[in-house]
Amino acid sequence: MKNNIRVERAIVKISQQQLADAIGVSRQTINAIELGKYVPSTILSLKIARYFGKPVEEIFQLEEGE
Amino acid sequence: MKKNNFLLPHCFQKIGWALFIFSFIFLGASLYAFNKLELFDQNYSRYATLILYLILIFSALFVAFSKEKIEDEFIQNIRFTSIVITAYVSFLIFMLLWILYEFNHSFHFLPMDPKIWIYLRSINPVTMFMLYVVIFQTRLFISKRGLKNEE
Repeated sequence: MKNNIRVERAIVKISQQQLADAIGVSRQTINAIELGKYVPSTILSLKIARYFGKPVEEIFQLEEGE
Repeated sequence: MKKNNFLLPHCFQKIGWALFIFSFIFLGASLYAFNKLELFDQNYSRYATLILYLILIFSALFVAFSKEKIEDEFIQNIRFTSIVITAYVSFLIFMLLWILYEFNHSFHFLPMDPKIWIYLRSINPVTMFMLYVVIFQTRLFISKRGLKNEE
């Protein structure tokens, strides 16, 4: 699964820590999601999408073969 | 996402560490005093050792099963995989020791002196909790290490 969180963060110009605080998770979580090391739960991905004001599919996409 | 995951509050972690170090040192000192120096009578030393062992186990439990500062799903994921790895590693160590012991029965690489084979008892609740703490903190550290390169 790919995600555009890093790009979205750059557009809004916030850091990982700020995003983490806004959503209520730790900075490791955001970092692990961006690096593709962790797949967030539905609730968490919905919260992230809601924060950026975009639909979930614009932030998270399935890769080939998934 | 406030669900109960059966963990103790975060303050228990520091209490647990303090108690663990205290009882570890105290236990070592008292075992030495009771066995080598023979300071007290049998019953007293039995119960004192038992109580100290219990404190040791409970403090290991406190450290192992207390919350981190921020408890989110990622940490729970790490916690779960750490428990699984702890189970595998403990099992592996135990099986290897057991096989080694039986092997030694036939071929006698090491003396059959019972004192050496005390290591058969090395996999027990206290050491498993300690192993879990080591594995969990290691994986936590690895995940935090990637943060340094970020803004």
